[in-house]
Amino acid sequence: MSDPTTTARLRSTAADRPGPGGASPSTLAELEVGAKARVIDFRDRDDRSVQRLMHLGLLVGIEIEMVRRAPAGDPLEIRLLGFALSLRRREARLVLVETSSG
Amino acid sequence: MIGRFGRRRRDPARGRRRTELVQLSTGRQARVALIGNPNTGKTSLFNALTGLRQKVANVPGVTVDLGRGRFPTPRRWIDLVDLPGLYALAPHSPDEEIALDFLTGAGGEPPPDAVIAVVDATQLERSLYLVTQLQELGLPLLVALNLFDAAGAEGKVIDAERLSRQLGAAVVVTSALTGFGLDLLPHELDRVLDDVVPEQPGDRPGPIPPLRQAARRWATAHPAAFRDAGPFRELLVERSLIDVGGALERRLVDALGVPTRGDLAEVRHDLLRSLAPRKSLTELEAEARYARVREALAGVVERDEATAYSPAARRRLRADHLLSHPVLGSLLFFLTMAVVFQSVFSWATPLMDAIDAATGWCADLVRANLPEGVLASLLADGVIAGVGAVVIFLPQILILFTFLLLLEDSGYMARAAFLVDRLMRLCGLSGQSFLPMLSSFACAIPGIMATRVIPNRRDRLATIMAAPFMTCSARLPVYAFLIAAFVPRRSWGPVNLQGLVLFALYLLGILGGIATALLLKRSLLRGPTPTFLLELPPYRRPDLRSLALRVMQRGRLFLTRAGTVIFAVTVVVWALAYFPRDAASKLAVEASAAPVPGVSAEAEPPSSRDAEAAQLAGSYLGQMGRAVEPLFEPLGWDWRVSSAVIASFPAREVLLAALGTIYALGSEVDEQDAGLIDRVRTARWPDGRLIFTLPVALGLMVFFAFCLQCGATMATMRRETGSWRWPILAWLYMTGLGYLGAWLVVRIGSTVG
Repeated sequence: MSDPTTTARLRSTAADRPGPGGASPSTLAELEVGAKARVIDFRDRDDRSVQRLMHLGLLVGIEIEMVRRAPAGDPLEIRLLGFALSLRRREARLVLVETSSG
Repeated sequence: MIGRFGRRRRDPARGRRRTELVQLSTGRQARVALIGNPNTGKTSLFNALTGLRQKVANVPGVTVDLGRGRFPTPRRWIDLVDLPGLYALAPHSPDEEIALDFLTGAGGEPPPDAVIAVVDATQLERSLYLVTQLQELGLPLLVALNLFDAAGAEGKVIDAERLSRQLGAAVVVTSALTGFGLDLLPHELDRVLDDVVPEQPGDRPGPIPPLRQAARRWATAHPAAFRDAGPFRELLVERSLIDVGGALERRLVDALGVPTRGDLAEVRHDLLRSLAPRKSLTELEAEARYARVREALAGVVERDEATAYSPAARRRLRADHLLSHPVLGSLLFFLTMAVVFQSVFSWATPLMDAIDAATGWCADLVRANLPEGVLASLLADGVIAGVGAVVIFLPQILILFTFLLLLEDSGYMARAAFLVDRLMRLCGLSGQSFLPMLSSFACAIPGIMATRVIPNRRDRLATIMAAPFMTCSARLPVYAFLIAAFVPRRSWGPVNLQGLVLFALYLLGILGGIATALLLKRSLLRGPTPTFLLELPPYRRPDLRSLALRVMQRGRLFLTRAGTVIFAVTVVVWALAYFPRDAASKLAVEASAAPVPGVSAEAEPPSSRDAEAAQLAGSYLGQMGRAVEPLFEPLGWDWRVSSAVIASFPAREVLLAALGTIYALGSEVDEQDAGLIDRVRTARWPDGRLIFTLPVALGLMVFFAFCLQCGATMATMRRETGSWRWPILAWLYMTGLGYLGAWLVVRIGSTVG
């Protein structure tokens, strides 16, 4: 998960996509553009970025939409609580999300 | 600092204000802090309230500049302080720390009498989060529901009264853009200041009651913790417990010793074990506060934004898509920048010509009406010529600032940071370094000061070191002058060679900055990659009034620098060039004037070119220039150019004033009708060769592109980094690079040409 290219490849593999009717946990970094997901957990709650994300309202149970990726695939733009936020893949990997196919 | 408002000497609106002062002399004063999230129109509101009654002032002890202004309410004068924007009372940067310090009185000033919390009406949930934290400070609080019109445009109808009731705070609806609600705000502020039952910090329960109790115990057990914070001590201890690895924790460790860190961790651990073992205190705080915010917002906003897909909103979204498009967006980005540079160069020309004519007219007037001598020379050749040569570039600076602020206010700057973050990371920096770097194109001083928004120390230092390489407004006059003098006026369609050279110089500065940042991040400032969280605000129509105020402010800052540093240096340079006027040099003057027969020495003292050249060569500056001439000879500079460059080390824009002074005194052309450009263009070595060949002129430009010729930048670097180490390193490095670059250009130029 540490190597960006690995993550990129993971994103496009079928195994990583949520199965029909089910839900699969993954990190925010792996979310496809246009996909929505719910925050379920954090990797490192004492990380400075995670703390800041929490103050910005990114908490367990919140719905997030992946809006776009910058030209080089990083950073990412997400939408939560009606505003747009840019974060890097490194930070996005600390947020665990659950995508639902519905 | 506040007392300074009493002395307003150079104030155009003084008379009007004096009447206001008399009217209100019986009233009281109140210090009010303006605080809110970034991008809430906070500074716009500040400008709308205080208008021209404002200044940029320093916080005593620390180094951030806060906007300070005044405005009257029916019952008192308000001293309003515009605090740096922040999302939570959990500082992630020195800027945010200053805001927290100001609110709690830890910054050296007493805490404010009241707080105006600026809330983005389109982002109620997120911006009310900070309000719930502010409420616990116990200070009288007024919530300004700003951007109310924008919320309306998004199809949101907000019941402000209901919000006020459910939130338990006074709410006033405003729109800094249209002026809506600005007449009501002073009345509401008076009400808040007069009517609110005084509270103590900590009177309201915190987000996590057991945490408050733990903080209270800890504060009692450690009386030295935040000793100066008075009633805010417990709150600050609470924040230190919540904010793991934050600035407050660091301060406690600094003050009480290293074991404090473990001590705090233990308190946290014990608390969490009984509360929620899998969570963190920040998480618990955020959850509790967002729940509270949602309660306060119940039934306040009608029509969810999900349903509010108006044509305008959809247009905005489409514009957003276009501007952030991987290819088109980047293309538009570079196009925007190119347009800015071309405009700066071409739009300013007529204004500059006018200023040039006015300056020449003034100097002529002085020369015609004052008797020949020290005074006339000082005024015409020192003061008018010198300052005029700098003021002439004010149009360019104002145009550039207008563009930069326009980009910032419209919300495009953050998108640009998003676009270039990956690129900036290649340079070892982050997208957050982009804004300080871009500001440095106007002036490295605000640029370096803007690095406070970069939370990571190493990134910040690298940005500070790279910032002076960006082509600042003080380099612009030097470039513009040298380009106009030596680069041929040739154009191919809309592209002209002069503009192209200017663009190349900008690029050179950028490359120098990138190389420097990379070098530092690989050596002195090596470390793990820092974080990057940035809100991407929606595109908005900029508040032109506020923008105009800020452009004027920057222009004034440039002029005050031009009027003080440059004036002083100009006069010193003039004096160095004019003196000594001792018997020996007078003899030399007369001797060289003697061969001209039949000219009356009464009305027209010896104005022979040789005589003036001899006088200047014998002057202090000439002596200095001669002393260093061998050092600069490889760059193709004679003692005159060397003298001018020496004179411009305190402030690079002085080069023009110095050249003007030097050539006005010692030039070999008729000084009545020829401009500085012609004089420099025709300057020759004693053997008749032209001094400024194209390579030498280009070399001089490269020297100015790299060299750190700005005392104010060095002083700012010292202030921001806390020691002279960085500015001295920067000076040695940049000057060396400038010399090397100029030498290379001259070598290559003379080989090719």
